Amino acid sequence: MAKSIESASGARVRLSGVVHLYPSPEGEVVALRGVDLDIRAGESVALLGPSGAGKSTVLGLLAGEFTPSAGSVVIGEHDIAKLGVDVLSRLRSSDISLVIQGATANLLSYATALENVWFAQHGARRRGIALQRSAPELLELFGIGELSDRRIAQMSMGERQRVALVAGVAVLPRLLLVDEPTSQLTNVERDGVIETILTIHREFGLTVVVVTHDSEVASRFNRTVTIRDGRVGAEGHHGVEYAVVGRDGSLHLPPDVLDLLPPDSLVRIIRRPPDGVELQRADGEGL
Amino acid sequence: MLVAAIRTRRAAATVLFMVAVIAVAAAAIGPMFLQGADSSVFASTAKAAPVGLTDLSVITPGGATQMNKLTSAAQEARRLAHGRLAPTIFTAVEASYFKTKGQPYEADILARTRICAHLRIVKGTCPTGVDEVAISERSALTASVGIGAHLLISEPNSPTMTNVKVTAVYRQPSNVVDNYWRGDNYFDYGTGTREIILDPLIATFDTALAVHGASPQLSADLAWRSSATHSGASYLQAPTAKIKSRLFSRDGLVVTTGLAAVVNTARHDEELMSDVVLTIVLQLVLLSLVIIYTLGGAAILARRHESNFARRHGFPRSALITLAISEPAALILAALPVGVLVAWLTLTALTKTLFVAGTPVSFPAVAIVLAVGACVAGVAALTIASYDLWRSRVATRRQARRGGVVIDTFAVALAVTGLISLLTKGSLNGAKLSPLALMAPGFLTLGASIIGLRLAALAVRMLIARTRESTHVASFLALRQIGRRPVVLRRLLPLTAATVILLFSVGSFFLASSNRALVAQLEVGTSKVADVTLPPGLNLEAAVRSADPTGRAAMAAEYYASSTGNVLAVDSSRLAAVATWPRGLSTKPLAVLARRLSPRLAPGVRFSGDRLRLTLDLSKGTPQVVLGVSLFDETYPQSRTLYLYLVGGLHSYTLSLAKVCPGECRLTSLSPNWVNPAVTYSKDVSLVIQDIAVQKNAVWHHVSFGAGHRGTWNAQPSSVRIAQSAGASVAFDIPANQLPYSGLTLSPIDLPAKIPVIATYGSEVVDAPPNPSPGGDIVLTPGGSMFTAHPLTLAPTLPLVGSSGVILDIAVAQRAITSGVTPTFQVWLSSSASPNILQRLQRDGVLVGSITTSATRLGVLDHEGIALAYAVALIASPIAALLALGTVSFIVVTEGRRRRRDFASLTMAGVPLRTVRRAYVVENAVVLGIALVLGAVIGFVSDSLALRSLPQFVSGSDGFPISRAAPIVPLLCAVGVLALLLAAVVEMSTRLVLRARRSHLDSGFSE
Repeated sequence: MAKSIESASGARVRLSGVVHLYPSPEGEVVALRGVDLDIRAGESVALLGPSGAGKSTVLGLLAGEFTPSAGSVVIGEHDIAKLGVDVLSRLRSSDISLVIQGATANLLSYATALENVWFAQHGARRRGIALQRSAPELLELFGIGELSDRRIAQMSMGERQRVALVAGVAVLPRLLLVDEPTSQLTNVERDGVIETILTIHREFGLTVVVVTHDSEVASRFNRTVTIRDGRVGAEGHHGVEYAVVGRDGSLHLPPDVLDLLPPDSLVRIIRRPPDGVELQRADGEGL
Repeated sequence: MLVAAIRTRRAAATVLFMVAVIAVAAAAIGPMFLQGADSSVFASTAKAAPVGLTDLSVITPGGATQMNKLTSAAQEARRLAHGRLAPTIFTAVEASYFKTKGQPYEADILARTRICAHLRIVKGTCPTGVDEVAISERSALTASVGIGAHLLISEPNSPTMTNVKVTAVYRQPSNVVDNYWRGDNYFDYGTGTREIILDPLIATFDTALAVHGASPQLSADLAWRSSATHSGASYLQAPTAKIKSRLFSRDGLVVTTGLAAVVNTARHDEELMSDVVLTIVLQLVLLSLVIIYTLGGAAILARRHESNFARRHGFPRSALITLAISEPAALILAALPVGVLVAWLTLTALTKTLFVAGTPVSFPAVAIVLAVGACVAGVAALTIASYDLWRSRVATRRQARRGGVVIDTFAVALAVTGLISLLTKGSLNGAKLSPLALMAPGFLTLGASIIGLRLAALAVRMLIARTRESTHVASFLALRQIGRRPVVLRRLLPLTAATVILLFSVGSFFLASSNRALVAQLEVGTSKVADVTLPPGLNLEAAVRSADPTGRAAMAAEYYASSTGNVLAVDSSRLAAVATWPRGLSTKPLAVLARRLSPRLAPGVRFSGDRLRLTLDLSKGTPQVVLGVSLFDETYPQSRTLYLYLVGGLHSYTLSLAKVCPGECRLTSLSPNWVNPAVTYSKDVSLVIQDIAVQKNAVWHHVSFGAGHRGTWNAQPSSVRIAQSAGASVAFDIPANQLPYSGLTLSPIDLPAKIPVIATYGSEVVDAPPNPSPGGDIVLTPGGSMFTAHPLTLAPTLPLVGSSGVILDIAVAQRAITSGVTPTFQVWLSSSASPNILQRLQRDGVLVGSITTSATRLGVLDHEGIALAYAVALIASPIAALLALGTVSFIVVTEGRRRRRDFASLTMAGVPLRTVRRAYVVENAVVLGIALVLGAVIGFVSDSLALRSLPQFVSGSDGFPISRAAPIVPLLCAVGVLALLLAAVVEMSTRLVLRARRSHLDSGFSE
């Protein structure tokens, strides 16, 4: 029987040198080129980046949907890539939850909200894992109790997404993974959904990883990690932005910074002992 | 949630439910059908068997005391049979003799229950008192006895006589093969030598038992009621065994029955039927499972996200499996009672058409077991089909391909096995069907369909490459759609398989039906055959020619059935027009053969008058010779032998022809013998026929007897020398040692040396080899008459005669067959014969007895087991085809609806709607057309291979020129109907999909 990940509410997540390749008719596609990422237990992280950057791939690896071509993915004490099918399945029933893109894809459209949340808890129930909250309690907790008996097909997109999120935390996992939760939503609906995620994070102290292409959404979370071209490019913590130096020494700058430093620009490296580094544009302006 | 899920996918659920109902019904109907069919086959076999074969007969010799015991035994037997036996028919028969005018006659005394109701009383009243008798019309004429006459009758070798009085004259029945006489022929008239055998004297039981202290043969016929035979063999076997054990050998009673023979015949038929029916049921169930599997595969897409949802939430494997199969399993379980009910209702509705009237429909427990088994198999098929939903990891494309190759390889292996089995063993394996070979068409279908569909996919890809520059947008789009999703072709497997099953069932049914019709017509001989009895003096051939002047509707015939071979004597001028003669039965046309059947006949020694005078010169000193003079009455075909006592010297001897030859008479032979068998005489005996004359109206007329001509007389044995004197006489020199032996005959030659016949390969002949060979003459001995025949042709079988017998001209037969067997007189009527023909014959005094028709015989054959099996196939196969059609339609429509956005994109890109529509039509037409063509090709090939060796019918197939080729027209019709239905599917699905496309376009791309 797999050990529960940690006694703390959230799980620590570590990706080390993760490389992932997809087979395609034209040959293999490199989706991740060596991703290093460390998420603390209970942290909320937004993975930001353009389409095709590898954000959903990172999420899929964290969920154990597939195994990395190289590197390790550790959640808590478990290297996900090395877990057997049954153990992984058990972890999914209790500790890891994935909400994929598109609310309807996470729900049974012919069932009610209550039935969906109950269905999401079924795996844990079958494994004899005690549930901390019942389905009605969860719906009430997140302010959508009035949707309990409504069928998914009769709900708006925003309502569906909120129900999907509640279903996602039906077993109160240690790690919640959410892929593009605000796509195809109006601004009002988007705010409601983000608020739900933040409430989840706040109430239960889960580790939350959200994939989004919307920087405004990303800014609502503790930390923003930019994924570009299959690697972590930049980091942001509460408004403070960082660029991540890659294993090969490359540095990915945020797009707005790139406007100031077009390609082939010279950057002067000034060492500030004992361990500081300053970068200066060649024309003498600070960066 | 389960109900909500089913409701959401109600279309797919409905189709699955219907398929499951049919699978369950197919499984359940097999045992139900077989139980009913067994009863029907037995009833049909019993009906076709000789009358009385299944019944019980209790026999004992004895007088009144034994009669009482017999009566008690019969009552006990009826009680043991619990009302299944009809009222008993008792019979008492005793040989007796009487003389009139010095001529001894032998006539049985016959008493039988309700006998007068089954005889036509021509004059007088039926005997009711002791010592009253009724005599037959022809016997009365022969013995010169009328109403009121007294006869002194005695037992053989007994001096005690009983005086009986004739109170009635009856006409003998034309046919004793009915429910009353039960094949017992007491009317053996006209045979015998010194004592002329007459029809029996009908009397009461009191008379029969009291006649001169007789000990008649007593019998009690216990016949089963017709309703009893409809309930199956076991319904009769149990009481039969009980009756036999109770009564057998008690009080001198002997109990006999032929039930075992009938049961064995029926059992063989039932076994053949069971094998075929079970195979059909298995193939239907297999098809249903294939359809369920296909539906399961098609439904995966719709349920994948539920499965992924469950997998993402860590459902254990068992929960994933439950999720994958709970919905379809619920539908299949719901189909169980419905399917069983449908099976029962279907069989009840079809009972009247398929089975013998009165066959009950029962509900055996094994039907429920098989129905449950079908449900379990359906759930298993779905579980396998939905493997992708509950496997731990989502299958990679390579794994999916590998799995498909494994399944395909297994199917092809099955197909090859089936094909080899068909080609080598065939379906009949020592008259026992080979289940593997019977399943072979199904296996071949699966394997060939899979290969064919793969080849079709390859062909589509090649076409795509070739149409790269094509300007025909519709076909361009259609091909690419098909090429993009080869799995669509695979989902056509049920339609291909159902097409093959349909064609196989249609082919086997129509082939078997046409062969049965041919067998029925050949077994009867023509459309209708009436057994008749003739009034004295009536020439049947002349009467029929008069009743049917056209010569194309009716034919006179005489049928001689003997243990040494059957002979059918016909009016050969009408044989070709009236008799059934399928093409290929003989190398030459029947019209040509028939013309050669009636050779020119020598006139013979023929006369008509009141008295016959023979002037004979017997060598002096010869001991007294008795000369048997055999005469044949040509107008009322009957042989009689009169006797003359000759003394040495030239004398004239006279015989009365009154009541012997009322019409045309023919001298058939003279048979001399010593009066005193113990005489010893060593000299040759010379017997010279100097003159033959007949007296008519008191005037004597000379009768030509071939004197002075060579080759007009024949003598047997050949040691007798014949000398045709220069004068008008014929002389015979008989060695003295030949006289004590009977069989010495001197005959005018009035037949050709070799009689032309149409014979069968199996005709019984006396010379070696025991059967005819092409080109060789044969010697035939029907009923003891012997003649040499020259077969004009040899055939495997002949109308009515069967595989062992001959056909010859009626006039020739009347001369050639003069003793030992009494013919059955028949009138053959073709399908165009008017009812007036029989009416005209009846006006001439002909009594029409039983009428046998090819339609009736066909009805019997249609109720044989194997015929029922083919009927089941024909009923089941369209259901299978419609099922597959419905399933494929559903798949086509759902696939089309999933492509709404594709169509919207095309129209938004500027492709005209009509082009989009045309592309969709072409796409569906190509896809469904591939399935139909593939199914048709495999079906035709399968039919050509399998039909050659399938049983057409159980008995009687030997020698019949039945066809074994696949019937092209019905098969083409079946393919045509299916093509029309598929065209309707294409049209319907196009309307449904593009109507949805239009509304989708109107509402935008919102989901």
